[in-house]
Amino acid sequence: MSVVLRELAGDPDAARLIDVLAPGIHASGNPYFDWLFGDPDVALGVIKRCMARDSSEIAIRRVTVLERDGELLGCFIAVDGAEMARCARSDSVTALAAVGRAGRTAFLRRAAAAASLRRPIDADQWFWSKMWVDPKHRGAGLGRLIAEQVAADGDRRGFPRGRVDARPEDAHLIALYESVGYEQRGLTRTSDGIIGVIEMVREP
Amino acid sequence: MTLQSSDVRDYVLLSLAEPLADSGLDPAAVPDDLDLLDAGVIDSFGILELIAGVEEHFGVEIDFDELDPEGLTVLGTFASFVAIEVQAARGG
Repeated sequence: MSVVLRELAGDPDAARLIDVLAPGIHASGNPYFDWLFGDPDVALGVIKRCMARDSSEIAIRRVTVLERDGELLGCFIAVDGAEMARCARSDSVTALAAVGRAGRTAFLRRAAAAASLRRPIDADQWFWSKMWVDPKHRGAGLGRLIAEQVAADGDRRGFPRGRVDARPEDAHLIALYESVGYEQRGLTRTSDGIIGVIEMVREP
Repeated sequence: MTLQSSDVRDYVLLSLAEPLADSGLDPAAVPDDLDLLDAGVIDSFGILELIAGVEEHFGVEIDFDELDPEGLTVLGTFASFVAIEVQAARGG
């Protein structure tokens, strides 16, 4: 049976998949998530809370899953750049509430260090992130399937630009993104130098 | 003493005096419908600072989940919400 890509936006019971997909979203965003929240369990908790909110950048309704014969193979998220400001507001509230008063000072310190990490997503960009493929199914071309799907989706929806951010150490992902038309636009790092991001843009 | 939304507004404008000036905005003339994020006065980290700042300044923990995200960075909406929540937390 072939691989099926299914947008969870149309699934009224998508929330049941939060616990299933959150570890993959967590893994796809690391080491950033664990660095930002200072603890893997806290990071996973914030991710689950964000996924439960429709206004979040990583809301479950924004996730597309890859399935084959009912088995979950992977997932990714794609967001209209015009929604990113609303997402930032929502996720800021969720993150601050989740880290609690005790963790707030350290979290704010790391968030300040991360402030210049990701250049803002522009309103005309189709922003792709949180690609995760189950380790059991890696090496089977699923990453390429996702990359081609995201590029086609962005074109079909009329976005003049696609955007994805890559870690400089993920050479295989950078090559994948470049293979479907993304170009490197610059490297930024957290002020402590620990986390780096390469902005990549596709202009069909 | 009852906390008014104007008190919260004054605190926010004072704490953002520098970025407001950088954006060419006069605090005395800023409208209530100014969206601080859209106007470039704050960025995503600024949202965190704004929330943490008012909670520390007014000495209460506020559940911002109750506020629509769109209103979170609108000056008047934010100030009114914080004033109501602070009053409620103070038992007033």
